[in-house]
Amino acid sequence: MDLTRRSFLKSSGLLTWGAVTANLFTPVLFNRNLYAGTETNNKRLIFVFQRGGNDGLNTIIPRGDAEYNTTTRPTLFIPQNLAIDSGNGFAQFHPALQPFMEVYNNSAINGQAGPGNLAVIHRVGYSGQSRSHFDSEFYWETGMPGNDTLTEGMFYRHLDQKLNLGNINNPLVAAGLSSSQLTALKGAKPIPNFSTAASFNLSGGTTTANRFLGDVPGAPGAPNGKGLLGVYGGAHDENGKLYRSLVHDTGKLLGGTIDTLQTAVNQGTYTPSNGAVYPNSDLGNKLKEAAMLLKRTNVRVLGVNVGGWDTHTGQGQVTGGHANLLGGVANSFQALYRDMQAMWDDVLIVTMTEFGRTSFENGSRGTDHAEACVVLAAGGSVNGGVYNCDSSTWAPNVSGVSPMFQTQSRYLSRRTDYRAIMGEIFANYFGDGDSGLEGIMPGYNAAAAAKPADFARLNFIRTS
Amino acid sequence: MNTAVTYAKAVAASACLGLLLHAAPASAADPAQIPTICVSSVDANNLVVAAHIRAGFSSVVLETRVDAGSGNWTSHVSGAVDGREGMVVFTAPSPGPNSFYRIRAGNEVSPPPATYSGASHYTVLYGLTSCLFSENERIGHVLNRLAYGPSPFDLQRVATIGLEAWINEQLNPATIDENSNVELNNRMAGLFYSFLPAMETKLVKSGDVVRYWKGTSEPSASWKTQGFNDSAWLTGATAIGYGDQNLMTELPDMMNLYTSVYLRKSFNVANPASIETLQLRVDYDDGFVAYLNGTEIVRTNVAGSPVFGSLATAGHEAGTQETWDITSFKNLLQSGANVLAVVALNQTSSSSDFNINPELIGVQAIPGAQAQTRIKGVNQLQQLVHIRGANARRQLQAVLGEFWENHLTSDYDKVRDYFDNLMNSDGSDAMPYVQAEREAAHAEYREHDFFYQNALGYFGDLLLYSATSPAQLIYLDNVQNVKGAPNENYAREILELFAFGVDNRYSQTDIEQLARCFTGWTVRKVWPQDAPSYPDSARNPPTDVSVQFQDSTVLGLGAGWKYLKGTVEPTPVNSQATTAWAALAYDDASWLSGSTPIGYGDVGFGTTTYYGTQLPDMQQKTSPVQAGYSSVYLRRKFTVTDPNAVENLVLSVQCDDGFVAYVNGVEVARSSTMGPAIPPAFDALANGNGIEPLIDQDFSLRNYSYLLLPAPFENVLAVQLHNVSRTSSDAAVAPKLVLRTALPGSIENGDPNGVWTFRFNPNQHDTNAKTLFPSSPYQMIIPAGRTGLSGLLDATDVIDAMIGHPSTAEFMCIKLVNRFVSDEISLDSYHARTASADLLSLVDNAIAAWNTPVNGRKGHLGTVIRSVLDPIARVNVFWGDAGYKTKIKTPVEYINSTLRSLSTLVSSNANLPNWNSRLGMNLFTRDEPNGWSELGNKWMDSGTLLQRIEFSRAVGNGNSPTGSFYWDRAAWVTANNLTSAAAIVNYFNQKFYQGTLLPEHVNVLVTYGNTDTAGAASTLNPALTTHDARVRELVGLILSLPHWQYQ
Repeated sequence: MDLTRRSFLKSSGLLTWGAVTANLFTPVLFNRNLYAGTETNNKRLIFVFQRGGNDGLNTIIPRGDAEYNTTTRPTLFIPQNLAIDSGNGFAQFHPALQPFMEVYNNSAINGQAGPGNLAVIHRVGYSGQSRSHFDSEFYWETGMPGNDTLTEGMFYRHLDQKLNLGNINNPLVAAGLSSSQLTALKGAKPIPNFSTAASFNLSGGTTTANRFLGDVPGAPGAPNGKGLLGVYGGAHDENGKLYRSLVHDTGKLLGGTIDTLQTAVNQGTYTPSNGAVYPNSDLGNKLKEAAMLLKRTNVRVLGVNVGGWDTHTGQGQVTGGHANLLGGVANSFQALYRDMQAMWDDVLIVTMTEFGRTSFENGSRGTDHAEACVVLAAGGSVNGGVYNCDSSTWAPNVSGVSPMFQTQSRYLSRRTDYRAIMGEIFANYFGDGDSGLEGIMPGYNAAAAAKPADFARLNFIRTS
Repeated sequence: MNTAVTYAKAVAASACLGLLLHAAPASAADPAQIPTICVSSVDANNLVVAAHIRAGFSSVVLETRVDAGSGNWTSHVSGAVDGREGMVVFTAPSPGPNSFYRIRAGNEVSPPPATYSGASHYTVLYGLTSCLFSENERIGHVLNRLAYGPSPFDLQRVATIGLEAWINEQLNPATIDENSNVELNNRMAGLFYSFLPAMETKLVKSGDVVRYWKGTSEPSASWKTQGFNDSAWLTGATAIGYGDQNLMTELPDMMNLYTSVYLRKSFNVANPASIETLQLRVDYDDGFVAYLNGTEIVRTNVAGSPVFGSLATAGHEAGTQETWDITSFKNLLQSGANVLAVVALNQTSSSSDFNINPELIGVQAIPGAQAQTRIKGVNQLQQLVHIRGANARRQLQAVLGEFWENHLTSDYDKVRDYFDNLMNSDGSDAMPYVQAEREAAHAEYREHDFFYQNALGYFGDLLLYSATSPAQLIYLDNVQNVKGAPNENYAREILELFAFGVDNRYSQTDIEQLARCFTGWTVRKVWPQDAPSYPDSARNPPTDVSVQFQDSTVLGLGAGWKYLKGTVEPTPVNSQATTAWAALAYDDASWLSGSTPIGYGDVGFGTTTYYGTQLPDMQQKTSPVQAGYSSVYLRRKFTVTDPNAVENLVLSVQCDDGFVAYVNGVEVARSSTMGPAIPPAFDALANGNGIEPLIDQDFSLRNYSYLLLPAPFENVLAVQLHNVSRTSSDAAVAPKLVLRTALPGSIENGDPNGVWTFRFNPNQHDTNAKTLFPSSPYQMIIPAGRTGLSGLLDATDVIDAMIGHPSTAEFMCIKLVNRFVSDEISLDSYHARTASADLLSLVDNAIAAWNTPVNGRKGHLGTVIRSVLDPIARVNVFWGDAGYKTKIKTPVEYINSTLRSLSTLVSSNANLPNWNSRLGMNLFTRDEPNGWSELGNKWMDSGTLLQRIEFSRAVGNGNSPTGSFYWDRAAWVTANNLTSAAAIVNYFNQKFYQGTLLPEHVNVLVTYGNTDTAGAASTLNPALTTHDARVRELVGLILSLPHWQYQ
């Protein structure tokens, strides 16, 4: 059912629309459980984009590959005794990832007691891999490698298929926790973004702010439109001109988003559950904010950036810049795991990064742009374990070349297309099914048919 | 004959061009067939008219006559059309003052005879269908695209001189007077400071050993005088205190016991007359009084005459030195012995910290040095873009200065961190953080200023300047790019982002080849008078390092060492590690004797002959079984003739993997790979790999010379080496002590007098041959063997050649079209020819202009931009309705245009950079090298829209002359005769929205203005002071509209 705001208000028994908008900041009026559209599934997702290109080889170390050594990586090499065993006899975790183990551990995986809810997936990329940050980030977020003109993100398309995003009762189905919106959440119908929920508010007293914000008119041009929303929610002009709908819709959405977020914020200072402590870093604070929003609103998808992964120089080894970045991710995941126990089965957190880095260390004690990378996924619906980094899949080719150098003699070769990873999440976690994937990532079917091995399901999402 | 109706226009040699005379149609015809005059331009010499001709005609003629009411029309210009719709442009000598013209379209087989015809007078642009907008809209459009939006000043300027003349002066910014622009000049002046290069002599410095007295009792009254005998006082190096970082002398008993500390430092001055300026620099917590030879010179947070139990009157945290100019006390200095005496007070006895660290500095001007203008900091640099943007009359230059800065982006934060991490030649920290901030801001300023000054010049200059700018060399790692181990970062981005565009006729191999061309590119500091200016800075840079020094060895490699294998803790106390083994008095007679370097394994730079002493039993092995050990302890005695003369003692260590070094039992140096344990236990492991191949890591012992005992006494250097793992393939240490002396002409990294410049280091340049763009008409073969400075040509030749490469012309012309005209063309849609025909032809014309040499050089930006703007004929797509108000303002455009609309006064504490950041655009600190997008959909999301609206409200509410923003409502209302809400809305609609607001929007705004703060209807009277807030809220709303987002 596609509820318009007007019919919703009627069905809620409220009398007039003017009365409603005059009370915009009272929590009763926007029903935060209402998602017009076909959505039935209650799964939530946080994606963390590691901007710059994470060095997968020093994240999940292919210890069983003799090419990982002090010749290929003189200052970056991590000795075996300092790394953490994954339990598969081949892969090791960077020592800074110790906090991950609480989520990763499982008697069947590494003999340790734990939920087994962390999947680490190595050698993820796509055919025709771009080593440009900007192109490759764009492809990862739009779900269409090689297409530079597409302006919708893949999460946007997923949401747009399921939910009536244009409905102003849906002001917070997703959000970017970022001062500017992430491409994966961009589309014709705006999805909000903010650094903190508390900051998403008009200044001045409530009376002044409400009067300024005003009311969306009942129909374009109707005289009951007032203030800012009266214009943004009113008539568009100069039809056919670029950006008209985008600007008007973005403004129209403001009122409901402010209401939803301030209602959440006004529930009080957020205290994580189960004694979880998020690191006091940008990522830690963002994930803490995400946890608050997951608990207090019906938001479905949240996007977060974490920068600094473009480690061309002085990358570090057991300690150093890269180790600090990894530790920040692992600590944040661990805190989220503890905090979200009550809804852990309905939470998935997944990392993305535009590419991995060169298998050889460069001359500046760093690494340069390369191809296949590591994806990390955690959640109650995840079948934990190491994927694509074990003695059976990490095999030399017929010429005896290690996967670390199979692409142009410089790059780790790909084993799984990132769209297969994201596809499994959309199909099996969000319940979009295989039939939904072409709509979310246009070109998916043809790409999967062309390279079936790249698209083979890893089954890291539990289907039950 | 079917002749379409014509219009007539007055033609005059002055400003009345464009006035439509409503002359009767020459004949009655279908109104839909009437040619429409879109643009006309006339001066004393030339008449240019563009007219939209409908389909179905075969000839067009422009006719003139000298009087509106009588006389025959003369055929002035004529030509053929082929029946298609299009735009006809007539260009001919002006028929003279007080004449009129009209256009007729007909279907004669051949054009009527006319005075002028042919391509130079008559051109047709088929397919251009939309007629151009009104003159008011044209003015708004030009001010939105070429300037940061309309301002009362520029609206008046255009009205006075006409649009074409306004564009022409913007294209020639030197013709625009800025000297009389008081607001601009006043605000700019606040961003800079004058720096006079000077030499500093530290008479008393941080780290000096001083005499001090704990304030548990009062010292003798004469304690501050030069003659006082302080031999009974304690000795310690500064800083002195507790509870703070970086203390050299700890006072663990001070808290709750005493609140004051007295200290004295004697020093010698050979020639007091040579000191021109005297400064006291003190880092302190919480207060102090300082005396020079018994006379008080400075006090802070101290009242009256302090005695031993006195308290500071206010709190102050240490961390940043404060400087006092005490030149007026200079004559207190005596030739020979002097004393600086300080009494320092804590604010409370139970305070968590206390700190005192004084420095006394004599400053002498450098003969002949010129004062330099330097930017105060990055915030001021960010403000510069807003100040110029809002206030400059040279608007196009300001717009382009920002555009080029953003295109050739570099990141202040990375440059600052690079400077902050530098060392001087003696291994000491080159500069404090605040200096790194200033130097990075200035490096960014110099880069931006070049782009601003050359904004309409040659792209080749911008690109080469950027490549050789210290900020860019640091930002994209060319400073790290050395032969044998190239760093590809800059080579990739100059192709991908700065010149060619992504994947535009280059390959990964080209990136790798180009990275090798750039090997040896780095930066250095130079004396200001030695800093070359562009183009010498790029084409004839210095090749030598900034500091050349010579070392005299105090303790070299070789024999004389005692060592202990780390199988046990050498001097445990209660099973805990201690440093007793490092003390001078420790008896090492039972230790083994050996030579340095000491260690085992392939250390990656040669053979095992490197070692003086090999330790084959150190590595843990399984076959044969060998337990190994993690550490080795070393000691070596040495003598120093005169410790007072030891200024630049440097510990120079090659180490794999971690070490701690001690002089006479005091820790003086520790590798970054060694954990924080004090001291590390014998079985501790380093927490990171050492640097291989092994290189000297220098540690300044400048602050530790007080530890040294003069000959014939001995000193001891002790070192503990730790491996990263017991199974590691190698471990080694080779410590040396040297006295380092910089040679004349050198300048240290930390010298605040210096400026940064490009340096080409031939020793790190890969002189092998390189090939770029193979199998293309633009293939470049860089020959092998370009040694010395000629190796620089490898990359500069490529940069020069890139200007003539079609990829650069395409990419840059499209980016300029994106900036000035339309978002709806990209490299992809240009190549695929899927963009609209008029945008394709606009880019084609711009590329032709790019490739037209100006003074023999391609890529002249003024020429390209003029071709895009078409200021005379005004018939290209820039002037087409389809693109009108279809770009979304970037944050900096939004902020500047909002300020301009009200001629807002902005105070220096308005923090526009912070606003810009809240709107999503940090200038000069963007991490990613692709710069901020020119495309509108990158800038419209609800988070930043909210911030835009908040900014407009803040400006609208600017009611105080001392507030962040200010505009005088009463004066504004009077000057513009704004007597009602409707009048205010109409004023903005006409001046700043060019009448494009919809009636529905106008109604909402007027209603809002006529509503009181309680929400009741109430007619607004803008002149009333009591309605001030309502007027301001209305203005804030008008400047928050959807249309205010467009430009």
